[in-house]
Amino acid sequence: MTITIINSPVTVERAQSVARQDLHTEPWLVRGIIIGVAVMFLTVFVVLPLILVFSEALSKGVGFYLAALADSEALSAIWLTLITAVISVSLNLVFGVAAAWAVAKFEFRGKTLLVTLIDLPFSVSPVISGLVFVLLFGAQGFFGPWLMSHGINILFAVPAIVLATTFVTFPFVARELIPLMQEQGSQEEEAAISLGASGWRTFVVVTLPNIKWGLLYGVLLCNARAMGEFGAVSVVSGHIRGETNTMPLLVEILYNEYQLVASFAIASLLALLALLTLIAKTILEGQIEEGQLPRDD
Amino acid sequence: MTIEVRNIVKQYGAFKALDNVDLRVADGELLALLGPSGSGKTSLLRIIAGLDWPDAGEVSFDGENALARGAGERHVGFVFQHYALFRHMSVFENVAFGLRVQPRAVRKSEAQIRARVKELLDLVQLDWLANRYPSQLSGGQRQRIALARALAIEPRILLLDEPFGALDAKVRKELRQWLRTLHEEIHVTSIFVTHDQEEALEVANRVVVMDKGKIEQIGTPGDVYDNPATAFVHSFIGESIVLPVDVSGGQVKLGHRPLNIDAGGAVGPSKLFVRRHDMQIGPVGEGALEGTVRRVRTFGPIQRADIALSGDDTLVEIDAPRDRPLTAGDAISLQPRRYRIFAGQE
Amino acid sequence: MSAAPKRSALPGFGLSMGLTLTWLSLLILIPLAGLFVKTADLSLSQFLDTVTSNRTLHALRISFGLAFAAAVVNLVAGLIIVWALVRYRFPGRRLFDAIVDIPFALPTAVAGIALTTLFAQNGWLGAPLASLGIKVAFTPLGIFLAMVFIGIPFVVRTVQPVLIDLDVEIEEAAACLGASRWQTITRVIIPSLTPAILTGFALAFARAVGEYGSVIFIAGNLPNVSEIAPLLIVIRLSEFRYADATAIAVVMLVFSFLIIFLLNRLQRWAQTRALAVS
Repeated sequence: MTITIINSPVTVERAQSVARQDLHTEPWLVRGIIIGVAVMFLTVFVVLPLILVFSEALSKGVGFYLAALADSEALSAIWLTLITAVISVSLNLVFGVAAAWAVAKFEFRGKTLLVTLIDLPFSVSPVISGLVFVLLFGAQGFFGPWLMSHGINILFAVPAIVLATTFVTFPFVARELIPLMQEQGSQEEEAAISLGASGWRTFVVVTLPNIKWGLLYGVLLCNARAMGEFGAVSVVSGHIRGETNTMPLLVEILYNEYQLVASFAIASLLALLALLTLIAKTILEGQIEEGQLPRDD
Repeated sequence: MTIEVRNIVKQYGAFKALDNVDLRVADGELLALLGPSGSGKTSLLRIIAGLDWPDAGEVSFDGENALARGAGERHVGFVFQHYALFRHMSVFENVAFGLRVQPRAVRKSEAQIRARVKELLDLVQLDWLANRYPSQLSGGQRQRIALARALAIEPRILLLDEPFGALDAKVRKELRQWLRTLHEEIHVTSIFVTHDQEEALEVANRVVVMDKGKIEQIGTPGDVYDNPATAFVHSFIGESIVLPVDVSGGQVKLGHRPLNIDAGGAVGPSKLFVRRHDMQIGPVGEGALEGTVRRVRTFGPIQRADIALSGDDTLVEIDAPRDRPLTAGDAISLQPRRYRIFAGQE
Repeated sequence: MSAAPKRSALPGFGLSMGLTLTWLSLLILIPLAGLFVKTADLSLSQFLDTVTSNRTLHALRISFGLAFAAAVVNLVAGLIIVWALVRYRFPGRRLFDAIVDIPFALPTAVAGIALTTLFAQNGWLGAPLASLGIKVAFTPLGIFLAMVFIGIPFVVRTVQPVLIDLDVEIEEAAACLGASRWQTITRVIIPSLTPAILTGFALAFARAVGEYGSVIFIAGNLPNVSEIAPLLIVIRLSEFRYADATAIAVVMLVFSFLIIFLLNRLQRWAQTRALAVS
């Protein structure tokens, strides 16, 4: 990568322009070093690993790549990942909207505490997020013996995978909506109510259109995390091949079995998901900003 | 529709937004709630609208308890300070909203709704903007659309929160005039909140001056300007010269100097309020204020002079007609023509 | 916790609050409480024995120590990146701005195998480093690098909005008062960014301590050398030593709560400072 610095003072009026720029910026050498360090750092730590994923996945050709994805274990992992994501995202969507409505539209005691609790899963290690469900539903867990005697499988089965994923992705929608709705205030809703609209109607016709981009953004982030969650799911899944392996788990198994190309092939799908999410995020951020009506002229 | 507000109290934590407020608004009035920020005027307006509830007190419309009804059932048109237009709906849909959300039994047909919206847009003279979106409108246009939307439900009461607050000076003036005319046309009982005294005095039939959650004075614009009931009203409305005086035995003294004016019931440390144009200039004499002209500016029909009062050199600004020429250095006396003395020096 | 608000014009408080609290309790609070209840299976001395056993202490030291070091690197690198992205215009700036989020969006397992392959002895970066005698993969250094990777977005994304909003006038004022550019940066700009910098640092630190997926592949996972605490929890679980796993988890969870408490404090500090300025 070559870096050219725009505005580098190389003209005859150099002295003057240096004096003028001095107020707001650094000498060009310092600027160059800072930009260089930033770009190098991001390239080594982020760009290279990303390129590596795709190059490894395709290292034995497109045919091999596609075959790896069409493998029955891969397909079952993709299917399980999709189902898990759909369920946990839907649950957290409903919850997130409800939480944002309560927090953004009303004043009540304990609001700060509630917001902190909503954010809690962000600060808990994914392994612990899985562990809590093992403790609830495992053989030595609180409900384990009862569940076992009734023949209900939660741990090392799909329900626990969904629960752990929902736990980990719990804050995403709410956390996206709360600041957005707080910033928008309640005046439009109050106007609708005072014009005689019902509460539900107000929400659907006035609130929802105003938050739709933020909501979609939250859902996308939630979905990306749901599909990519590894630690929590790893603890509760039991790694039953073809049954309780999600895509990230399959990546691990194939990697440990030295099926590197197959492993990176699945990984490349997940990386693609991450990239698409980021692209959508960039677009949506523009939409959200545009959606804000300037208050004055 | 008459509005009656009795003993309203509203508290936010330790802050008393409204402290035992009583107010009667007659049918067809155009009333201004005037006060500095934090005086409780917007709280009162929101309580009347049903957007907030008081901690104590009553609100009734035509003798009927309004607090039993929610905002949607009061038939109150509310114009928000920042308009609160639905940003994803066209101007037309914004105005039509209140008609569309009516219960099916009383809802008008689509044709009737269209006709009504057209009529309202004509009323606010913006029918050509029907298909625009709020973000494409100027501030003044948004203001008028917000008004049209509030009027669509044929409100029994119209409430406006700082209706011109966010507009620039020229548009404000135009809209003031326009609101007055509109009110004469539709004649619905209206209350608007403002912190701008000129706006209140110019537009309203009656003005309610509020401070710190209490009503200081209710009266016609002429009343509150000419006969301020309290020191607060005198200093808040119009500009005044304020001098600390002392009253004992009916004698008013500024420092040690006795003044030839009537104490009007005040006793002890008090404040003397005089409008700038109510200071009469005369030759030096007994019982008048004395001072030296420091600086004179003339604009239009008046000249404004800074006078340093003899004694402690307090500077006062007075307005005098141009036919009595003043020059810097002149020693003059000042006799208040009209004035008020309020006890206390707070 | 939630005293109902005074009557409000908007409906739906009961419904939305009820839903929120039910969901929060069922999914988050009760399971987490179960964790603490489970620790009660151990007596205090058993708990202490578990937590202070050599292997556990090593794992905790690796997780916390390397996470702290990684967060420090993230702080410095994050500031440099933020400065470049906000203050300078260079080709690819918007691209690099978007790239900052990748460690956050990329599934951790993918990051894990990618970093391992990259830094393995025959990897794109591992090979040249190996020729210098530096071994990265399967050593604590590898853990550290993986932690640096996942911590990148935090400092950048917390400081970026604050730096963008920072009024140019305060810099101009400092310059007019005779401050050099360096003085302006160190005495005016950096102090105004401090709450955001510390917040980003704490977030990166917390994330790295608990990180599992991107670390275990590159770690080598040798007990007492390159074994992180979350992995030890997983190992204890697979040995059905639930109580031991829980004890380690409690130590980490208490740490998470401390970080949350600290972050709340930081936020309040930032807010009072913002108020004081405006």
